[in-house]
Amino acid sequence: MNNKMHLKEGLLINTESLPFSVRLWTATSVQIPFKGPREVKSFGTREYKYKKYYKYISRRG
Amino acid sequence: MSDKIVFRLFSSCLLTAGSTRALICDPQRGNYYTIPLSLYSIIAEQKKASIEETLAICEDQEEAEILKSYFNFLLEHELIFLCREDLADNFTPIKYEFDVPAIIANAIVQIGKKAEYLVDTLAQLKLLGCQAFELVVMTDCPLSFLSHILELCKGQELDEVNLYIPFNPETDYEALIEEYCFLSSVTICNAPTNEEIFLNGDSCTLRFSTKDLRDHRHCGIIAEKYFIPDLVHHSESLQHNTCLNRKIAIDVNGNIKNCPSLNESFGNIKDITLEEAICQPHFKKYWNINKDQIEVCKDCEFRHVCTDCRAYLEDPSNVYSKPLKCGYDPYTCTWEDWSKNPLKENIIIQYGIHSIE
Ligand code: SF4
Ligand code: SF4
Repeated sequence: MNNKMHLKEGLLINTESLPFSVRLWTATSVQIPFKGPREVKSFGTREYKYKKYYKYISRRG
Repeated sequence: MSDKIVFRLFSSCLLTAGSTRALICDPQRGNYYTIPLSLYSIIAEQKKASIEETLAICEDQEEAEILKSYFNFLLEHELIFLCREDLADNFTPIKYEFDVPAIIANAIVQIGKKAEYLVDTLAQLKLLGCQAFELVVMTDCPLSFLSHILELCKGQELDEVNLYIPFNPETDYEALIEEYCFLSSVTICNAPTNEEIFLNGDSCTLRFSTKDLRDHRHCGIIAEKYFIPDLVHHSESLQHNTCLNRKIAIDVNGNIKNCPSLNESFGNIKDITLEEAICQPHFKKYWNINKDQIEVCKDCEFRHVCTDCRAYLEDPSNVYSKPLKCGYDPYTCTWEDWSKNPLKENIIIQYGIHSIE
């Protein structure tokens, strides 16, 4: 596995030299065979995403 | 150095257990997922176990396959990550302390014919640190009056303004929104159609409604579309009321209230300052009623993404009762239309909700 990570400026850093192994955070998810999630629903509303203030002042409907 | 690879929940992901299932919330992406309680306990315990060790405790192969699919789901959505066991304690938990630099954080201001006290009210709100405003024009609203109000807002350098106005066929709402970029939403009431348009690079919602949403009795709706998967909101919900904390309302007659739907007035804007009203002993009485104290909500997995309402209650005599306008049952995980529930019929009449347009 390539332990080099490219930064924006084109600089190379060695991930092994970081205090913990950065590679493990993303690289291992494919090890487990995917059978499809069960009973899991995903949500997220467009309106929420574009709001600056974090909540609705009132909820009229 | 240990070679064992364990799984950890990302510190930014928030877990909430309900009585029947749990919720895992990813506030950075604005998503949330319902999960079974059994999976919740595996993640919440953070035992420093590897996935293989956790799968080994399954009773049979089928259970192991189901758990595998859950782990896969959690990894794919980056809700958990894998790391070496000896590094697993290096990830600091998030602090759930809530504070905002504001004595009053959001305000509802009803505006009458002349908008007489508007400048003074907005100036006072700015001084109190108010971050978001809801302005509700209760009278007819010709373009000249609307422009006058928006110019006043501009003069006060308001940031986030949500406007409720009656429909006027002569007004070009889109042009208005383009001109006044501090508008976050404009709701046109009594319009011929129901429609929603996103403008200004989606930073403003223009909403047309056939109902008169200026009437405060329309407020207090609990629905999934109003859920807020947000870290600040989550932290606030742990200690405070997610609707009324740091909220103030000034009704069309100048009465200072916690919200337009609550009857108690703390004085009139003509006679006292907002600061004087806030200092009154009962003004903050709802601020610290959190979801863990509210009946039924305390057992609900959505309680930290949901918003509260203390003005319309299932039992008006109990300040800790569930919001009337919620149709969710956390014990069966089902939604129903709250307005058609026969048990709520009398209370709906009591609040006068049945007769609104
Ligand atoms: S307490 Fe209820 S009616 Fe009042 S502003 Fe909040 S949601 Fe609306
Ligand atoms: S029971 Fe209804 S109001 Fe209470 S937290 Fe759940 S969804 Fe929200």
